Amino acid sequence: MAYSEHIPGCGAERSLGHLTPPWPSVRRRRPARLVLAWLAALAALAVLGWAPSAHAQNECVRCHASLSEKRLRSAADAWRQSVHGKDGIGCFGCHGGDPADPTVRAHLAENFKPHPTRQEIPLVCGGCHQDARYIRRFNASLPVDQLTLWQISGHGVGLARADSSAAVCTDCHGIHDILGQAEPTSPVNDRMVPQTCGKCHSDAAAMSGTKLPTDQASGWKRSAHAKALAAGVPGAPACNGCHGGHGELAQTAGTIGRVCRPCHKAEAQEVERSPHKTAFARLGFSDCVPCHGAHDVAAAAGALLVSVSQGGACARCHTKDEKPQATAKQLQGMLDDAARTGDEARRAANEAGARGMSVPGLESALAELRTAEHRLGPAVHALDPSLLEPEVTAVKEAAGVVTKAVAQVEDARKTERLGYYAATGLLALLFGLLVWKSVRVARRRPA
Amino acid sequence: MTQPMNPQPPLPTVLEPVGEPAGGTAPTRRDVMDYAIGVVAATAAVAAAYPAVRFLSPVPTGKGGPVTLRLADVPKGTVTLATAGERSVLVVHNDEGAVRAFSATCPHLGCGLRWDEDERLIRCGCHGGRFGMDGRVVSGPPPRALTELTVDMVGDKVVVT
Amino acid sequence: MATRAPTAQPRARGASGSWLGDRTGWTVGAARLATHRIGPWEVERYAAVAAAVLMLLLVASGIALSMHYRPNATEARGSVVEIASAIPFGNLVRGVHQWASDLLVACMWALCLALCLRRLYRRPGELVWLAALFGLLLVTQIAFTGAVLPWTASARDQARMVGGMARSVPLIGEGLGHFVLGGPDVGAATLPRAYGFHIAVLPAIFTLVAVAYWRLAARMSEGLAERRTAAGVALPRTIPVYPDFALRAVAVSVAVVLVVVSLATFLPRVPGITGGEVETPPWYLAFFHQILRKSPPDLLGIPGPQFIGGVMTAILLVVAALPFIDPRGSKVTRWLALVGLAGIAALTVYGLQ
Repeated sequence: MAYSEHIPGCGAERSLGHLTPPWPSVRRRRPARLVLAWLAALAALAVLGWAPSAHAQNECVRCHASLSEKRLRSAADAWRQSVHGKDGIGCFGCHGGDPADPTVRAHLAENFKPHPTRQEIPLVCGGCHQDARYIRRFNASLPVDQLTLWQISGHGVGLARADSSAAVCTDCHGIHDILGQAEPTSPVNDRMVPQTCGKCHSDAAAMSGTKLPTDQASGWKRSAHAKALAAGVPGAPACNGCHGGHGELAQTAGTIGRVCRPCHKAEAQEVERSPHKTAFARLGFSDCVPCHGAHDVAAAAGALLVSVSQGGACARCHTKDEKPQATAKQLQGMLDDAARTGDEARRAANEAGARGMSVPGLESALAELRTAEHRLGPAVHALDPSLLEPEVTAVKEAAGVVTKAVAQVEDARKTERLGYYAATGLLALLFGLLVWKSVRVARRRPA
Repeated sequence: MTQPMNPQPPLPTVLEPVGEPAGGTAPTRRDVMDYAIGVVAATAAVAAAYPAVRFLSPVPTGKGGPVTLRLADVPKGTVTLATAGERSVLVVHNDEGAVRAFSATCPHLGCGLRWDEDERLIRCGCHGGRFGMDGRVVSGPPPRALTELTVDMVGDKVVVT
Repeated sequence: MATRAPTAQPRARGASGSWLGDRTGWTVGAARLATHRIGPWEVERYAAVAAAVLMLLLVASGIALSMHYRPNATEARGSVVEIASAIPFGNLVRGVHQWASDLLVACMWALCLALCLRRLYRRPGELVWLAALFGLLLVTQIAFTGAVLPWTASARDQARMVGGMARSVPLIGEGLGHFVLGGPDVGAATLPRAYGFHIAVLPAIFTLVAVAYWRLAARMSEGLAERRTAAGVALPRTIPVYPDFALRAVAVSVAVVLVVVSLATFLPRVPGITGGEVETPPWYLAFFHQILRKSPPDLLGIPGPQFIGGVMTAILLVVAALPFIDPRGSKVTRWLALVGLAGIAALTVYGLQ
């Protein structure tokens, strides 16, 4: 709090005075003069050659935006587009100074901070962002624990250890151009996070002072998570999904399982029943990583169980044991079997739909099939064919319901077709007889 | 009716009703053809009736599953009307504590039945049939007693099938 | 009645020559029909026969559908889906209704075109022409109100568009729109209204028009024959109405039923089943949609739709007044009719793409 105390914008009295027009007293006491004052101000603005805007009262921005030196101008331009600019939180909040003073004397204010140091930045941001009462005025759903979390994170601890390259707020969020997380171009948007983290973590030079690897971002790009995120699956994790947004921690064997669990609940439950449970604990392995990988986590879909020769996950450890490999093969066979049955049922349903047939109850039958298929993935984690068997049976039964419904309609259709041929045969015969008779009637009479 | 405009005399041969052979004489080729046309047309009409009847006949709506209710909902000495889907049953909890169930359809003409607490009888609103708690006819036109259904007690649940 | 009964008794036999004729006073008129001779291939007669058969098919299949259809905004779509999926032969009945309706519209176009090209709108056929034209309009409206009944989003949009056109009529527009939609906009009141128009009001008017057409056309045919006799000209080849034309008419009827059932079986078009499908406007309105689509928003200072609506109404009035504008049946009329038809056909094809 030591730093934020001399930043008036985040002190005890945060009147947002710097956000309101600089003539509040005039407006209240002398309405007639207020008009004159406004007219004078407008005239002055016109003379100065700039139109009044939402930020007209911020003298810092007004002046900096008109400067020709790009270094001094770009901050003002970027700020206007930022979330702070849109909420009217001006330069003063971070830099101090006197925003009401239109002259260069504004820089002479005692509290003016042109360049907060890397050590100061977290405190500048945190000064406002950990104040729930203040933050709620702008965004009631924004958390206020970022500073605390950051302080315990690898980045915060690093900075405390005087490693000045450790990331602070601005390294990830940007400086003047800070955007809300929901903005697609924000560096902390889910889709941008891997790139933002990768900026340092994929750079061998930047990581040289640490023992960290640099292949996490490239691994993640190959992962099932990356595909899911690209496909717009809600909750699909980028870096922050597992490592946390501000309290980044390197995940260790003991913690990884806990990170996966909240999303992969059903799988985690089955893992408890698997023979790996005790073995992994004894060997000090993580629950999930040995099979699925870490950053390059693979889509399960059978690929992990394929045999040694195909580079399946089991083969990484079970190089010689024949029994686990046989089990893997058996499980894979069962999964393939279930997938084939399900696909066949769906194909039959699609074909029926393409031929314009409407099958009663098809929607719910297909939904049942999908539900049954969703249970296969978790069930295989027990790595026990006898535990997978009932789920495979459930899929087959659900598929059977679909196929039967389609077949019933097909049969009914066939019967209808037969009836059609019989009826049209009769009608065609009748038509022929009538034509014949009409020709005969005409022919028998002299023209 | 307007007069015929054409002064030509009518041609008697073409005025014979279609499909009726000339009296007494052997059927000619034309008569046979007329018969054939009549038979085919009649068959076609009958055939068309099949889809029409199937389309208009009520859609079969299954028999309905079992009706389940809690025993607590059927106080001793009362009758409760319970429904599941389109199926209605009367669940009787008689004074001796036995639970029985009857179809809630009147055996007279199929009207719905309900329990009359004042008379302590099952009544049909249509023609005034009355039945006792044992399902037997007390008065009115119903020709026979109510159809009894199977009751299973599963825990505190009454399952009527 | 009471006074006629005793007098009818003595002449009960032989007066009309038939059992039914004696009792009802209706004469079969076979003798009259047998003496009346007509040209062998007068297209408008076959079009009229086909239209009558299609109307009977529509009434029969429509009555059947009305037994399962529930005309209220909440249940309409569900009941249509139920007919299509759960009810035996539901798709067949829907298909027959749909295809018969399309063919009826086509038939009425053919009928009007035949009357125009064969110059039958001339004296004494003026009222026949008007009846046929009115019949075409009615059939289009019946088909259109029917298309609203599945109550899908696109059906509601179509209804909304018609309401908009009604509202753009000068002076009475507001009231007319209200009358068509049952309220200021498409809502729950629109569907029962469309249903009422579709199954009762419009078919009743159409039946009256159709009966009038048959009587007028028969009278016209006799009148033309009279004129030919008076002028001493004869048709190159003729057939008697009974039995020759009657047989052909029955054969045409059978063929129409055959075609409708085949189309319904093999090309089942089931609008209103799938959810958010974008249905194109019905083909018989596609040319009109295409004109509306391509017209500028503003013509001669009048809003586009209103201008086009005005022009279409004017064209319709001119076409209706054809017997009086062109009492002699000039070749120009034929050419205009053919060009107009080709234009409408081209716009229809263009509009459906």
